[in-house]
Amino acid sequence: MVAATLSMVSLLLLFCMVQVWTPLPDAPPVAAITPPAMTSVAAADDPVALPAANAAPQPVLEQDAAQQEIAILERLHSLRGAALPDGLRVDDSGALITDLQLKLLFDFLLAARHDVSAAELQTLLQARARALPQPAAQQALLLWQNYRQYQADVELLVWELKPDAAPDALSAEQLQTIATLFTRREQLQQDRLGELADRWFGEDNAYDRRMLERLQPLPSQARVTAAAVAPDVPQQTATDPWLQAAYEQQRDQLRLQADLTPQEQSTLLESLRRDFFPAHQEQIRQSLRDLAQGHP
Amino acid sequence: MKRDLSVAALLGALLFILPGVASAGGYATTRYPIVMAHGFTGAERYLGLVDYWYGIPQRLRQHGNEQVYTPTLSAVAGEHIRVAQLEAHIERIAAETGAQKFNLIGHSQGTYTVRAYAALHPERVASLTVIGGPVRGSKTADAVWMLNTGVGSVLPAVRDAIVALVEYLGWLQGKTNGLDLEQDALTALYLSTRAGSLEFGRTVGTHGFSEDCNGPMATAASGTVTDANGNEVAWRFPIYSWVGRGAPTSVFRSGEDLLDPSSVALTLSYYASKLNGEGENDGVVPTCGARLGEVISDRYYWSHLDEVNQLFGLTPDVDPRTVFLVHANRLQQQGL
Repeated sequence: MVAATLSMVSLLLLFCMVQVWTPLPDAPPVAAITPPAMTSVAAADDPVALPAANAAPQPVLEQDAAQQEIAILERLHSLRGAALPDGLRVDDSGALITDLQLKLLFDFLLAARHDVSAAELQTLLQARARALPQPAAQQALLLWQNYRQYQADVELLVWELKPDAAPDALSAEQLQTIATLFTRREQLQQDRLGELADRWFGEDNAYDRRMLERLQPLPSQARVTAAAVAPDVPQQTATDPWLQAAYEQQRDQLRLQADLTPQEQSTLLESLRRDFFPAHQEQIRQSLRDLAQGHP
Repeated sequence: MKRDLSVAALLGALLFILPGVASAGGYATTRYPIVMAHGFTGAERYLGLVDYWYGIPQRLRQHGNEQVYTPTLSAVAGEHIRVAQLEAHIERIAAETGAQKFNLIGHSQGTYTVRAYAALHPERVASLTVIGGPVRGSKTADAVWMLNTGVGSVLPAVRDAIVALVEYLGWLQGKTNGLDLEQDALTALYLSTRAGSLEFGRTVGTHGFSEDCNGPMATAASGTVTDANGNEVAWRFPIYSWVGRGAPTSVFRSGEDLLDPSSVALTLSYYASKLNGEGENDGVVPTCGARLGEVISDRYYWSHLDEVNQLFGLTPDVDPRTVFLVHANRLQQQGL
């Protein structure tokens, strides 16, 4: 028994390693981002953002940097179509504004971690931060590093402690483990981000604790579940029972024809539905009923 | 400084990006309400306690979207039942908000529900997004289905007892969410098989569907319907999908507990699917088979539960809430 278990674990580990070492295939193809159309959006909305047509040529090195950044941006497939959050801002005194918008920008970039490398994400942030005055730019980069470190720490913590079970099937011990995990994560937030921790994570932490508390046993009081308002399921158009029965009879006969391929059967069924139920919605509803009534 | 600004602007332009021009409502504000349909054995809250879409509506709200709805549908049922329930919820939301269109998001079996709704009411759909959907079924579901029919033919009483138990648990999910809902376990299971999912794709959920997951897929659907006054009304909506590819116990990536019984079950399912030739999967759904419309990503190291930020938001890899947040902004950018 022990040997069998060990064999199974070894096999699983082998699979895990193969998974780690197997290079990822390319992401599915997506339409390329088209700068001209977007540039026109930019021109319409932000008069200072675009270079003037007669602007002086940029030094070659800066142009290379810009090209490199554009090349990285073009590979952010999973963020395609979304706006880059306006997270890098300073107040009147030139100090970095460290509100949730800054965290949003960091999260946005980290969400693309499978599109480009960590170094490339860093390059993008640096490019954005260059527009800030000092020391705000430096502070933004430092916070980015701390935030990434925090994320890495949390990932390790999850590796170490996370129980894997459905939320409605947790033991008391597992609940305690999750509570411990929450506490250690909150400590990491303080360690890595100091006074920002509460502003950035306070709401999430309170939500997590609230959810966890709901699963704690309540010995002295019954749990009250508020009755939800059940919306009325819409009355579907009443079908003539004779018509429905006739359809079902022909459908069932058709399904018994062994010489038809599934594709042919599907086509004939569709045609039958069209004959019996001229309205498109009724054909769809009948398809759903067929799926329910017709499975083997 | 001027050069810096120009570089920043160029970077912004490339992603439809403009600093400072976000919607007045916030980064995640959408014009139309977002309605999310949960999957098999789910509910708005597990047993009325823990949110299914863990922390996701909260995160969207944090960034300005107050119109996120997560209705409870039958936990264990076919779409002939669930889509009628979704229709009822949407009509109620429409009456409350005055919205005429909806951004529909489904997870797992909920992807069938939103696709069926889109087939019935395309003019009411602002966008269609499917997450971890068994769009082309799975061999694992085929195996469970075969087991069901095998047991059913030899020991029908045992099969019926198991089905009754599953349906009772499904009913309990609804009941603890305050609803008394009809269940139908066998149809739900059949839909997840390859035969059932293809039949559904051919006849109902045709928008963005192709039988070959590596083949070209339409990233939007369009057409016309005739309204109550007999007028032709044109409709069009974009279609998106994403899915995880992580083994629940891929220790090097998600690091979850190998010794936990449910983890072992998901892991076995994950590797069984791989050995069965289905390639990468999220422990329940094959990654390739979950593609529909424009694929946002299928590279997240998530299990099927991680896709909705379970368990308790302790999700390895990319934060699923950020993916929803970015997606809401993507819809916002299109005026949806």
